[in-house]
Amino acid sequence: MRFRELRNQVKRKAMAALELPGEVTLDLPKITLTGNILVSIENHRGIASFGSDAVRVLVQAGEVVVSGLNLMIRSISPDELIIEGEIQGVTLV
Amino acid sequence: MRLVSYLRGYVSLIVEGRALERFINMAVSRGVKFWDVTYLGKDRIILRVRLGAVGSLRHIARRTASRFRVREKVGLPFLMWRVRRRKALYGGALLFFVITCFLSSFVWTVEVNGAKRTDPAAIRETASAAGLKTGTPRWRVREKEIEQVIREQFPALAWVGVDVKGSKAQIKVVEKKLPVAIPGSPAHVVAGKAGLVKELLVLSGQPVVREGDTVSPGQILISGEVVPGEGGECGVVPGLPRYTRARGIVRARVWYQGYGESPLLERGERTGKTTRSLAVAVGTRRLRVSGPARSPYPRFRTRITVKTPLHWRSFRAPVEIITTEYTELMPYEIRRSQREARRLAEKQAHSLVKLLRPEQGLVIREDAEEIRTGRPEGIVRVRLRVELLEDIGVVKEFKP
Repeated sequence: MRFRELRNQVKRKAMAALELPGEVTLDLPKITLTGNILVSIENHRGIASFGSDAVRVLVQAGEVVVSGLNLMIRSISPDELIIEGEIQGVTLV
Repeated sequence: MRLVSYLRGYVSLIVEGRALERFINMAVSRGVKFWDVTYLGKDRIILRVRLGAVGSLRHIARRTASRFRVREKVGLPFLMWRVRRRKALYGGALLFFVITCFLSSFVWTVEVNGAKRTDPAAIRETASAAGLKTGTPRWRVREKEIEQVIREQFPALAWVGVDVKGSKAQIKVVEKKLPVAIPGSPAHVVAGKAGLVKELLVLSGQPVVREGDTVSPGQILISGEVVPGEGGECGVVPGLPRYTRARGIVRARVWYQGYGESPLLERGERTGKTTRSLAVAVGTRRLRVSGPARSPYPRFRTRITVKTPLHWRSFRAPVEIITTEYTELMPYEIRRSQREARRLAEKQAHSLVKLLRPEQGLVIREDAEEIRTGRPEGIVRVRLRVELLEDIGVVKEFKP
């Protein structure tokens, strides 16, 4: 009886873990690219460098480099960063 | 989102320093949100931030060895500061508000609704005596009391309601429905119009005409003067007239005639578009404000309206607003066949008869006849005869 309960609990936990997306469980960044005009990075850790041709964004275990022309940070908050401009590349370093 | 940030106010800052990234990261980690961060050049950026966060940024700037200065202030709070400096404007707005509030706490108009037989002015007077008139403060109006007083003063009213809405007091009254008094004076039933009596039903009184008689307007049909004959009931003296109010139904055949005509070829002018021209005349000078100077149509009708806007009692400023309205006229021509013209003429005759005849009444016969003059005229004339069976009796009182 007790054994069965325990087994069920483990099962539930495993399923719940599988249902959750990686950005929450492993604290990974979620990068959304809208055409070549907008990049949204969720779960960022701040910016490493900022220029009009490249923005380096700190994320868990590395950096995301957004390169392009006339880049600007449309908004920045603790959980989301939106970069706007003529985007040419998004590189994971 | 835009509106909210406008209402809360935001500033545009130029930040200079060697470690701008650190400045941004530190601020962001403390919950400050930036937007429109633009790179201006080496170690120089411009960004927008809400007004409330500027204070904490000062601290962060000191720690990251950067400087910032305000370049632009946007939003309502800055406007409010400017307004606060202009005390007269502020005070004026406040005064206006106070005066409006003060004036709206009085009753300025008293309206009486629903009084048809009763004189509204008398009701208003009673209300004014009971404490509801122009200039009464709203808090002094005792609706129930005033209702009571009006109800007591006017027994013909079934219900009275006093309602103060804003600066208007409304007195709603409902009048009692009084039964129509049955007149008892003696009367004849006379003919209202000429006709041929078809049916006669006497309820009271003495019939004077018989079925089949032709009557003319004003002729007595049922007399209110009853002369008992010999051998009647007991207590009734023969030969001595008794007076009564004659009642009865007299149905007669009544004729109505209508006439209509319609030309086979109709020419005329129809109105079309309208153009308006506005001018202001000061003294003898005239200045056109809008619209054309002359009619834009080759054939037209003009209507000129002159208004004097500055006009108070006997004073009249020599300013006039002249409106000229040009209505286009377009000639038209309609050709009709013989049948169409006849139908149109009949329709015309029918509408004419409709004006003359009463709503009730049974149509017995109806015939339309074309009038021929013997020479070709290009016009169709129709005579319509309608025969109606209707009650022609009219009560007419008399003094015995």
